Amino acid sequence: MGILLCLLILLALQWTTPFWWWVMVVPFGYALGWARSGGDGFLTGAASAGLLWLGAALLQGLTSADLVAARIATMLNLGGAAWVLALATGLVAALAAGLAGSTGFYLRAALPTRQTGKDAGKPDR
Amino acid sequence: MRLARLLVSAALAVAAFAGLHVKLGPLPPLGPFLNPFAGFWQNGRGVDDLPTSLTLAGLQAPVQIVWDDRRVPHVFARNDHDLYFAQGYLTARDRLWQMEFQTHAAAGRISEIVGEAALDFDRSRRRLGMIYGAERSVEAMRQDPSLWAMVEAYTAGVNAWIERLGPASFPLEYKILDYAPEPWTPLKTALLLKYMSWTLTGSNNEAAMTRTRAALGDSAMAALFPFYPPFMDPIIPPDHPWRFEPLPIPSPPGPQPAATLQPAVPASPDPRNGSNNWAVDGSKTRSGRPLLANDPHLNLTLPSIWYEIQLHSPTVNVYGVSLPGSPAVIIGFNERIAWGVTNAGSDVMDWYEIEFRDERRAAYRYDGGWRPTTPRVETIRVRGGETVIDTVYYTHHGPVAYLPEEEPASEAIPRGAALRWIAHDPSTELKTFYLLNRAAGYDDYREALRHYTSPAQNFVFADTAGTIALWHNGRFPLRWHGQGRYLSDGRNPAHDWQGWVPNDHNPGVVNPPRGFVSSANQNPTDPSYPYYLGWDYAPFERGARINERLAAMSDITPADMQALQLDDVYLHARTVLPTLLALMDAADLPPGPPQDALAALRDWDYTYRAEAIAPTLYDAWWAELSRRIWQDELDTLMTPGRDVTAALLLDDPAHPFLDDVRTPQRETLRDLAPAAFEAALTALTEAHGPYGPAWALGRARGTDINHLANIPGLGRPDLVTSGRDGAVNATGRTHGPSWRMVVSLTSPVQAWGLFPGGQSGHPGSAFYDTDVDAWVRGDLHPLLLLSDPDAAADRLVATTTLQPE
Repeated sequence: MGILLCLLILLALQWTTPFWWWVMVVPFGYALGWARSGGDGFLTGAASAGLLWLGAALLQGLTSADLVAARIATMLNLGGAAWVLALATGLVAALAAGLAGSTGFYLRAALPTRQTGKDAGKPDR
Repeated sequence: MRLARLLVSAALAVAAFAGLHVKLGPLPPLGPFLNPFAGFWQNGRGVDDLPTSLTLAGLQAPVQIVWDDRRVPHVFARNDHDLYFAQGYLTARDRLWQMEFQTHAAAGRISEIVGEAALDFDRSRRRLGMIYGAERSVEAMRQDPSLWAMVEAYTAGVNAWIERLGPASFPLEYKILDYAPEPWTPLKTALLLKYMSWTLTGSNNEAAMTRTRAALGDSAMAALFPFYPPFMDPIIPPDHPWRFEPLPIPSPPGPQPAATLQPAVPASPDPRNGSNNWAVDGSKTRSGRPLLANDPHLNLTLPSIWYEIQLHSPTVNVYGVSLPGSPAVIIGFNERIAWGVTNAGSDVMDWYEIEFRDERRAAYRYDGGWRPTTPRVETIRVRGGETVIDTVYYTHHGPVAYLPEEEPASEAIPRGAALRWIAHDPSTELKTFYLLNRAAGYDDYREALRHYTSPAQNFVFADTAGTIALWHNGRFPLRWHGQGRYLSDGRNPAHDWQGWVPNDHNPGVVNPPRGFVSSANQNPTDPSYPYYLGWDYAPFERGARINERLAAMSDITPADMQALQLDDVYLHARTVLPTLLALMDAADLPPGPPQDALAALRDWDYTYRAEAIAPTLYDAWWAELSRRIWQDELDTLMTPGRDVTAALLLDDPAHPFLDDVRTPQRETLRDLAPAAFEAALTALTEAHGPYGPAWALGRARGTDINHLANIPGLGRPDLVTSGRDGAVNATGRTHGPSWRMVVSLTSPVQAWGLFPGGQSGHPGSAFYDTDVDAWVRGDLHPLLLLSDPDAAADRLVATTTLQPE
C-alpha cells in the first residue's frame, strides 16, 4: 500500500516538475511518518521509485527514446544495450530512494518519543 | 544503536544524493541525467514532430514551412524579416546546441562548461583576438540597415525557440555536459564567422619557416619552399591576360634582422582544409547550359556543419546549405545562378616580433620611438574553479598573443609576437551571401563579392544565361614579394601591411576559352600575376586532376560531375610510383607478403579505393621515404611539401638531400626506395597485423565522423571509405567532403546534393545521421527549389504554419 502511495505521489511530482530528487524526498517523508521499520522504509522507497523509473525508462525506450538510449548506452560503455540502461536507471532510483526511506525511519526512531503510529519503531527495540 | 543506524543511513543517503546530483569527472550528474521525466530519456520526444501550426511572438505575418522527405524546410515568408526569423527559429530547433557550442569555442568560453581542462584553449581564443574581431564585425554590420535587419530577425527567431525550452527539453548535449542555453545575440553570429575564419585562415608556419631559414639559408629555402611549386596547374589559366593597371608594389625593406625568438617545437602540419569547385560552360555539356559543382572539405563532425534550407520571400528564392548560427544560404543556387566556394589559402595572417619598453608592457618600439599598447582585459569563468582575469596587450598590429616568457597553446604561435590578422578587421561577409542569394547574373555576383573580407574563398559561379566565372576573392594586403613568409619586424613600418589589393585586381576569370573554371586550393595564378598573395597553397594533385578531366570531357551530364567528385586518382602516386617501382626487383624480396605487396603496387591504377591494399602500401612507402630523405637534414625544422620532394627525386635521384648525412657512404634513391619499402611493410604489419584484408584502405585508414564535442556514442566511427586528401574525392581519416553539390543551370535549374550527416542535430532523431551511409557510397539527392509551397507535392511530407501572435 505504501509502495503504491509513494509511486503515485512520485509520478505526480515528477510529471509536473523537472527535479529528480523527489525519489529521495518522498520515501523519506513516507518513512518518517509511516514506515514500520528501517527495512520497510528502504523497501518501500526502493520499490516505488525503482519501479517508477524502470517503467518510465522502458516506456520511453520502447517509444521515442529508442535511438537516444542506444547512443547513451554506448557513451556509458554499456555496449549500446538500452535495456541495461533502463535497468540501471531503475536501480539508481531504487538505491537513492531506499537510503532516503531507511534514513526517514531511523530519524523518527531517534526522535524523543513522539509516537505517530501504533508501536512506532517497535521492531527495532 | 538507533543513533548509529541513523548516522550510517543518513550518511549513505547524503552520499547518494551528492553523488547523483553533482557532475563528477566527465560523466553527467546521474540523478538529473537518468531521470526518465526530465533527463536524457526525454530527448527522443518531439524531435521529429512537425506541428501543423505554431504561434510565435515577433512575426509580422504568417510563414509557411513545407518539409520535404529529407526534413529540409522550405520557408515561404511574406517579408524578409519573417524569412530570417523563421530561419533562426528552425535552425535553432534542429541545431541549437551546436550553434551555441561553436560560438562558445570561438569566444574562449569552454571552461565555463568543462572546467579547467579547457583553460589553455580558452585563453588562446581570447589572445588571438576572436571576441575583439567579432565585436568589430558587429559594429560594421550595424552600419548596413538590410544586413543588420537580417541579423536581428535571425537572432529573434533563435531566441523564440530558446524561450520555449525548459530543463526537460534542453538538447541532449546540455544534459550530458550539464549546462543551459543562453540567449542568442548578433555577436554570436559574428563569432561563428570568426570561427570559420580561424578554421580556414588560421594555419601559419612563419615561426618554423624563420627557424628553418636560420639553419639552411635563403637559397635552400627558395629550393625547398618555392613560391611557385613544381607540377602546378594554377586556378587562373596561365595564359590569362591581367586587364588592370596594378598599384605600385611595395619594395622589400632589405635584409631582415635575425629572429630573436627562442626556438620552439616545430609547427604542426597544416590541416589543409581543402575543397573543390568547378563550372563548365554550355559548349561542354549535353544540355548546352553550364554545370557547377562544389565540395568543401572540412573536419567531419556530427552534427554536420551544414544545414539545408530553402528561403523564399518577395525578394529572394534560394536553396542551399547554411551555417547554423548564421542567416542566409552560404553555398547554393537560385532560379538564375549557382555559386560555391573553396578556401583561397592566401596569406592574411602575419606575426610581428615586438620589443616592449619594459616589463610593464605599456609601450613597444615602433619607427624609432615608443608606442603605447592598449590592454584588453579578458574574464574567463571556470567551472568549479576561480575566474581567470587575463590581460592581452594590443599593438597597432594586433594582440600580443603570448608574452616572451609564456608557453603558447599552439606550436605555431611564436612568443612575444603580435598578430596581424584580417579577421580582426571590421567586415560584412554576410552581405556577400545576402546579395548572392538574390543575384540574377554575373554583375550581381561581382557586386556581392566586393563586400567580402575573410576567410578569402575561390567563388565559382554559373548562371542560366551561360556565363561561368571564378574569382579568388577576399581582402588581401598589399605586400612586397615574400612579405609575411617569415616573422615580421614589429618595429619597422616597412613591415606593416601597405594597403590593399583592389577587389577588381583579385585573380578572376570569366568564360575562359577552355570552357571551364576550377579551383582546388592551389596557387591562384602563375607568376605573371603582379601582386604577391602568399606562397603556401595546396599542392598540384587535385587541381591538376580536375583540369585534366574537365579538359578531356565533353557532352557532360550532371552524373559525370558527380563521378568527378568521386574520382579517387592520386596524381602524386601517378607521378612518383613508376620511378620507385623501376628501382625494385621482386627477385630481391623474400617470397610471400613482400612480393605480393610489390605485385599489388605494380598492378595498381593509382585509385584510392576502400577495398584496395595498394593505396595503404603507397602511403606507408612514401611516408618512410620522405622521412629518410629529410629527417637527417631537417629533423625538427619545416619539411618541404610532398610535391617538392617528388620533383627532387624525379629530377635528380642522386641529389645531396637524398644522402643520409649520418652515414659514411653516399645514399641515392636506389638505396632509399627498397629500404623504405621494407620499413613500410614492417610498420604496416605492426599497425594492422599480417598482410591481408586488414590493410585495405577502407579498414586501415577509413573515416571517423566524430561528435562535435567528441562525446563517445554520438559519432559514426569506422566508416569504410575511398579517397584521399590529394585525390578529388578528398576523404581522409577525419576530414572530407562536408557537402557535395552539382547544379545544372537549365531552366528550371536542377540540382543534387548531400552532406555526411542529417538535418537534425538531435542524437535522438531519426534524421541525425541519415545520409552518412549514402555519403560513403557517393550518392546525391535531388534538391528541391520550389516556386510555391505546393510544387513537387509527392516529396513533401508536412506543412507548418508559423502564426504571428
